This record gives sequence, structure tokens and C-alpha cells, in this order.
Amino acid sequence: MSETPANTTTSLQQVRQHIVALLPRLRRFGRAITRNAADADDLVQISIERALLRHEQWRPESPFHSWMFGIMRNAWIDEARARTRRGQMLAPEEAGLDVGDNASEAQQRLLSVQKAMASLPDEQRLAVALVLIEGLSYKEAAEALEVPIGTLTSRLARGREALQKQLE
Amino acid sequence: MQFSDETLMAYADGEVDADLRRQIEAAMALDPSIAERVAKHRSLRADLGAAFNGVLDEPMPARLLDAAAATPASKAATVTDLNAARAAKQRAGQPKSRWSWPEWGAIAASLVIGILAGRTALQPSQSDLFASTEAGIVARGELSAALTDQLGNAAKDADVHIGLTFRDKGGQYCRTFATASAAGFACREANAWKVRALSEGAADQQGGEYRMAGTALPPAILTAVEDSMAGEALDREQEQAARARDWKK
Repeated sequence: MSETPANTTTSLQQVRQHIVALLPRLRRFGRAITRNAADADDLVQISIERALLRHEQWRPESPFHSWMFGIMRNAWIDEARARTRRGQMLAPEEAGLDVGDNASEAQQRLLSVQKAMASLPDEQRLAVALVLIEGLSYKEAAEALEVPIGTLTSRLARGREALQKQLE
Repeated sequence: MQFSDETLMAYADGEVDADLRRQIEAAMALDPSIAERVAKHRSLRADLGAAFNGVLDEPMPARLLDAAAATPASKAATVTDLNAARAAKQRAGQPKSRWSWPEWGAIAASLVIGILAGRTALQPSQSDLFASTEAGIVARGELSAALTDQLGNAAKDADVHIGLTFRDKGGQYCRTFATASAAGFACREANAWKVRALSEGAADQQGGEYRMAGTALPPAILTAVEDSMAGEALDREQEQAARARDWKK
């Protein structure tokens, strides 16, 4: 595998390899931001298509995951806008999260974390998902969200505070 | 000393410089309430991980692999692609099977090379050989047993082949491994084999070429090994001595 893309084919190949390696995490990020498993995979699929279409825009000197998560974030914002136009509410998904009365304490905890996450405003949820779930640095997360680091950290702080309050 | 919540958050996220870190750590040692606030930030991260990491072990929908392997659609072809997407979605709606290696082979022989850099990198899909932990990916089951017990290039018929053994720059013992479907290397850390580099799905279906010798490792893995290695690979005697010490530094 060559490090520097000699031509378009090479960079398309590299983008593909990065995508496949990142797939499980793209799905996790999708779950964290869409609140719903089917929406999450749709979002991942749309984002993969966009990334391949625009593979030339990725600069190998910047981390691939920042670029890719940025594409997912934009696709999610587009989708959210389209749904608002169609008049569909983006209500937190409750169905499918219910595991019944036999759920263990650990499962209950897990569900309340998912619900708390779903209740956050989009911009806070994106910041929390990138830094606390996907483990991006502040700099990488700010890049993916196309905001200054100060904005990222204040969203992250507010998101965290809201989550901690709900989970107390 | 007082620290804002945002500063403690940045500390918990590993985002402060060395000076500030030392100040905060000194304050934490003196004032348990500061340590408690930091612990709260850390436990939220752990909770979020626990709530969303499950998806990493779910079978990968074929439609996503198809999407990654597809030729990028030109804008003119959008309409037909919507149909293709729908068809792919219908296929994916059928009962899903665990990611199978022959499927991988069909996608492209050397499509998936993942180098694990820290705990946030590629999550392997073979969960019977690997476990995702807070500290990253660790070997388990047969892989862990082989890394601990097998001598290099020994067991010809074993499911896991162990190749080179070497020390990394921190003095830890590391060993390359290959199975029918994955290859990489792992280092002994805190009584576990932490997987430092992993390539999945690249092995030859028929020949199992990774089993043959250390040199049959994928180039990306070899590069990662070379980058990590301090000095020479261990010889048989050194390997046995290291094993006798339970791979302790």
C-alpha cells in the first residue's frame, strides 16, 4: 500500500480501505446520533456513498475518521432538515429500547444512558458522541463538526452536564 | 486551588498540558472533592461506552459492505442508484449471518488492513478471539492461549500460528500471530495480550498463507512490527526463557 496517492484510483482505494476498517465505529456513531438502529445504518450507507463520491476531498495528512464523521454529521443534518420539512417529528425512539421487566440493573443503566443521550439537542449529542464515545480529540472533533475548539468544548460541557443531571 | 468544571473536564479527557495536569493532580491529592468531580467525568465516558459499544459486535449488514465496495455513483446515475440501494436494503432485510470470511474474500483479497492505534481504532469482528476492553483490544480464547503457551513457528496444525517474538521499545514482549482469517501482533501488558495491529480478512482462503511463516504477514503488519521492535527478534532459547517468566518484562 502506497502512502501517497499517485492517482485517483489509489486514493479511492485508500478511502475504501479506511471506510471498511472504520465501519463498526461508523455504525456506533450512527446509533449515538440518530437514536434508532435502522436510521443509523441508513445514515452510514448514505455517508459511505458520499465519501466515495468525494474521495478526492480527503487529505491523507488529516485523520480519516474526522473527515468521515464530518460527512456523517452533514448527512444527518440534511436528513433532519428534510424530515422537518416533511413534518416528521424527530422524537426520541422508545420502541426497541424496551427490554421488559427482567432487565438487569446493568441493562437498565444502559437504557437510561441511551435515553439521556437521545434527549440532548443535536449539537450537544454530536459533540458528546465524537469525544466521549468515539474518542476523538477536541481538535479532531472540532474539525469534524466544522466549529472552533471553544464551541466544541462548550457544547461538550453542556451535553455532559445535562447527561449527568439525568443519570444521577 | 479552584478549577472550573470545564478545566476538569478537559483534564479527564486528556486535553490539558503537562503543567496544568500536574497542578490538577496535586490538587486532587489534597482535595477529594476535586478527584470526585474528575471521577464523575470519567464514569460518564465509561457509561456511554457501555451503552453504545454493543453495536461493534453485531453482524455487519451486507448492504454497508456493498456500499463500501460499490463504484461511486455519478450524479447522473442517482435514480438507478436509489433502486440499487433499495434492493441492497431488501437483501439486508433477510436473516443476517455473522460476517463470513469467504464473503470478505469476495470483496477484495487485501481490502481490510487495520492498524490499531490506541483504544479507539478498528474493532475486530471475530469476538471469540478478541475482546474489546477499556484498554483496547485484547486477545482471548484460543488466541490468548496460543500467545501465552506456543513457541514460535511450532505447531503446524494449530488454528493459531505464532511467528516472531520481540520486545517493544517499552520492553514488553510482543508476538506476531496469524489465524485462518486474521493476522497481527499483540504485546503482553498487565496480564493480557493487547492487540497492537490487526489485519482481518486478508488471509488466503485456501492456502491459509499467514500460517506458513512470519514473513507471510501482511506488509502493513510487518511495517507496524518493525516500527515497534526494539533490537532483534528473540531466538528459541530467549523465547522459552520469556515464557517461563510468564512474559513479564
